[in-house]
Amino acid sequence: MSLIAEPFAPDLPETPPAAPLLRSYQPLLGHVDEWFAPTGALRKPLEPVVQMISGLGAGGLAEREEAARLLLRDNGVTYNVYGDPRNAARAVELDLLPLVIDEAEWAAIEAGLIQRARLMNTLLSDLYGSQTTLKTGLIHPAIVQTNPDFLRPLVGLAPPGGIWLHAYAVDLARGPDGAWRVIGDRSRTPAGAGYALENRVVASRALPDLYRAMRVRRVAAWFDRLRQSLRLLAPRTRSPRIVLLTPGPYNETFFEHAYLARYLGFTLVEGNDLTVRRDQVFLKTLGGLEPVDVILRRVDDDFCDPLELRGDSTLGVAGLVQAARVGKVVIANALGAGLVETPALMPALPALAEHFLGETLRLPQLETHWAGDAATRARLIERCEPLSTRPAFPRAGRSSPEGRAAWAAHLRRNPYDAVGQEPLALSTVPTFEGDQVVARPVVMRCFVAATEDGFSVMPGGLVRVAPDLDRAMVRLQQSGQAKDAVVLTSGPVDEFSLLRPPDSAVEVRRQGNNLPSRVADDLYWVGRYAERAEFAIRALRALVLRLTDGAGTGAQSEIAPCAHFLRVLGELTPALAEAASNARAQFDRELVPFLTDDSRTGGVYATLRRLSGNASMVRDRLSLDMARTLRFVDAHVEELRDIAPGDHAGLLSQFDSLVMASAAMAGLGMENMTRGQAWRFMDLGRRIERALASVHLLRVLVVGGPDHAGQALDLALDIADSFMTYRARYFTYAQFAPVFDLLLLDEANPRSLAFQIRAIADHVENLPRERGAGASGSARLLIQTALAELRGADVARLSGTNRRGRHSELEALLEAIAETLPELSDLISQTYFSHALAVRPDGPTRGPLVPKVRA
Amino acid sequence: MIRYHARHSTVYDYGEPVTLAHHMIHLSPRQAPYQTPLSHRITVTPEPTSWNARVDVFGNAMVQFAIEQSHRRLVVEALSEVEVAPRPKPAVKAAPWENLVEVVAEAGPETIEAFAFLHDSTLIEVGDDLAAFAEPDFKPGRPVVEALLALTHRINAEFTFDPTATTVTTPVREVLADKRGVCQDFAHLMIGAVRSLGLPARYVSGYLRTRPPPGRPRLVGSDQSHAWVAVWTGAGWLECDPTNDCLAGVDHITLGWGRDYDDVAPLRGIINGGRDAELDVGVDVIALAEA
Repeated sequence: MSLIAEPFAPDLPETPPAAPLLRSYQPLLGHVDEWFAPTGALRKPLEPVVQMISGLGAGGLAEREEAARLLLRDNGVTYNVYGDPRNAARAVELDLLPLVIDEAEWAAIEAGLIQRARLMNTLLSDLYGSQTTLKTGLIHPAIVQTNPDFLRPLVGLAPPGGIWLHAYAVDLARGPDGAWRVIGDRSRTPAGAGYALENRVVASRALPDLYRAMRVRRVAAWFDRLRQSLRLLAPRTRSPRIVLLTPGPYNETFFEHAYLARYLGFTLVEGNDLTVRRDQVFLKTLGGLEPVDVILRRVDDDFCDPLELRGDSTLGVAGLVQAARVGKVVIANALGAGLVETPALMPALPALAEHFLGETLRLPQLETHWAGDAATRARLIERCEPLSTRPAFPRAGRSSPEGRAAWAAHLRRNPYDAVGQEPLALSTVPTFEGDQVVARPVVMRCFVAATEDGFSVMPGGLVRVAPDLDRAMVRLQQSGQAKDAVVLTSGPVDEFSLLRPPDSAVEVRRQGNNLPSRVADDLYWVGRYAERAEFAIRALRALVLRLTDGAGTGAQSEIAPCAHFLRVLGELTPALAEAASNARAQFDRELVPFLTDDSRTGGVYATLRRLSGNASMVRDRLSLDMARTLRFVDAHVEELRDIAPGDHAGLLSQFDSLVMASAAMAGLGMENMTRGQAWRFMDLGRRIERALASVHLLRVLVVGGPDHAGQALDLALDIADSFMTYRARYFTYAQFAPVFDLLLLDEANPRSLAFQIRAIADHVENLPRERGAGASGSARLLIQTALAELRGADVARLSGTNRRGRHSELEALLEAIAETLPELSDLISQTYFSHALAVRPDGPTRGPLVPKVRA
Repeated sequence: MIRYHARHSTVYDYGEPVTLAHHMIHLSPRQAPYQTPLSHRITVTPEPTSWNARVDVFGNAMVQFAIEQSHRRLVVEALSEVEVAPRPKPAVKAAPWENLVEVVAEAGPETIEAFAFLHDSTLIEVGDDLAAFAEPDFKPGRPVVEALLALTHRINAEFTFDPTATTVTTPVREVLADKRGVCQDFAHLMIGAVRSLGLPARYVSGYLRTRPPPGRPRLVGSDQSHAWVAVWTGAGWLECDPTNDCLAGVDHITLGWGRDYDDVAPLRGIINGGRDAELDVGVDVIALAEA
């Protein structure tokens, strides 16, 4: 279908001077080119673009591309889809050469999109209401009744203001006749508006002169209108709370959810953050339950309520449908809106536009056939290849057949579940491929929002580039590249930006107790895992340091006790500790696999992966620098895998980097986070973990026996980063009493147990009091007792031994604190995280608990 | 015409406290040409904090409620009095069953509703295997009522009633393979088979009056909730009970109907906490007067 044209040189205007990059550009035969007319002449609106390319030259343009790539990467740092470096941060890369649409053409598209949004919204009201379209035969009942997107519990529910589609997206493509036509609708949870916004922000920062020169319509005002309209619909008019409901960081478009939530100023929440009480939706926060007025959802309709919709969903909120039914919450898009996404509806739309609006359908559509009758079914089977026949109801979860026989079998049992579309030669836009500029087919996703003044179209869109010439249809998942869609205007360019609202004074606010409990929970664990990882790395680094000592052989007399010490600490397996002492080659072979073993709980790799996982759940709460540091940690953890056996220097350098990164995390936490509850829970996690590790270390020292006692004390000082302090204080080798004073009792040493206990006590004093006053009283009692015991301890007495040579008093003290800390951690979990946690261990229960009909 | 008194009690004992519970119940007898609910009452302990009674999309009365106070035991009791008359006799038409498939496919005004019961539903997926299971009774040209009676009979004859063989989530295919199950399984199997041929079929939830063996008293709580099948025949819905190889009659008390069990489960809920729950269901159906 898409053949490469006979090469012809584009007829570039004399002024501006022809851009060398475009000299060898070849439009595709049979496709409209967005930049060049069929004569080869550059289209008028593109002149500034080509001027810019000429001005910059290939090198300059490459620099701008690099700048854009870095901007996107930095955004990716904040909004990455799960902090997994093996996973692509972003679904799409940005190509700076834009799709440009002039004013007149855009006016027609805009009018067509508004009409289509009105039509779809009216249609939804009918299908969930009186269903006149079914009764009069305008729509075949199978399109509704056999469609898994038709959610029966929503029948009869009229959303506030009659608005089903608060945000609606349409995929458009320009065919060989030059007309833009609809190739698909997105009504469920339309993705892409956030990407379009980000692309605009990045492209206009990479090419500021061009965007100024072109008189480009801004997109920010559209987002503000969307936000305003959601606010106006809120049941409570005074400071309503709007949340963005995401399936979570494992979702492929989580980046966009986090980006939009921050941009629009909505709270990013997951289903477990919400609860329904007395038909009202609440957000679970540290301070208790806070009402939620509007939910902008990115969770699919049927997953939103496990009670009335899909029972196996863990992403939704039980009772949400009922809350919507009684009008106590506005859900955008309204639940059930996914119904009009099926392409099976497309053939019926022209008649429906006449019926409902008394208008002709403005935007042409890609010619679409739905398997509503036997003749069409036969055609869809016969021509399944060119029509790219596919299921009409993909969410029924049936596999998509390949080939005629398979389609025939599929349609015999599911006669309505197929749709085919005539192939279309998509228009092309010049696109970078390496250092070449080639013609690539594109589709454009446009976005419509319901506003006070009716539907409003974002002036721009997300342009996706087909990865190869054979791929006529472009889906978000398979598309490697994106472009900015630029809409030109002859009028004034509005300078509106959501980041700087023009005339509204910003209310001064300080963080209260409204931190979601789940976020506090995650931050607490970020603190704990970060500290846990640092301790493990410090311990292992002490060993590897001894291996590389001197000529790189390491003195056996140092290594054996060190390995033994690490084994007792639990940082080495017995086998590995044995190998470190006696079988160095085996140890070298096994060390890296041991370090990077994901299944070993508490191990370096597993701990850092959990840190990364927890951090990604709270990405929108971390500063850019902290997120960058986490990214750095991720990268270094992966590099551990590549270290050759026996490359101790390489290992050491990775360990050093990780320790530095951990220090950077801690430092950023101390210096750059506001002392609100978010900081408090993260630091509390860090302190409790460090206290646990200290107690453990000291107990190992105490009961470790006289063997190599001096070296064990050295190691303990090393791991606790207190070696230099000790040296400066005592000018002597490590001895029991001074080491214990420094690591156990000295409140001035930030690595001592006493320091941690005092910090924890301070946090406990300042925890939110609204909930569980009794519990926070118990926590206070626990930690104050521990602190008093440490303060009352006398180092000389503690150093003393009983008749059997044991430090019995010291052991008792450490044991008491070792018991207190987990108790305290549990108490805090129960008090502050429990309403977030209640559903976590086993999730909402159903299934076996439902009575079986038995007779 | 028979007047019944029905008591349906559901008791959950939870191994740990339930801190928040949302439930939906379908426990109210449905109004139908052959059935008149006379009185009805549902009591729930502990006292629900919200209570929403409404009619679902299939026309069944239902209640959605929530309990916010911590509890270890939930008791739901439904008491109903209902009058059941014989269903009209099915008109045995001579027209072949395939004609009906075509009539349905034409989507005329009278079959719009039937489309909801024509294809996959939450627990039932149509397929060639289910069609093949039905085909011995659906020879080309056979009248639909005759074919349905034959299929009802065959399920009863070939399958073993075995309450231990299946759970509420056992898939239809497993029932087909093992040839064991209870009324819910047989109803799902028959619905799947009939739909796979292109005929609309729905799931009916209700009670069956059981008669004690001669000379023995009726045992309290010995009855069960029951399920059977209704198939669109072009002239109304024919109610087949494959578990008992009969058509539904005055012994069948209807609570409601849907596409499958999931639409009309007597009780379903989402709870926080409440691990290791034990469930006890008791049903008593007593004929008060036979007119």
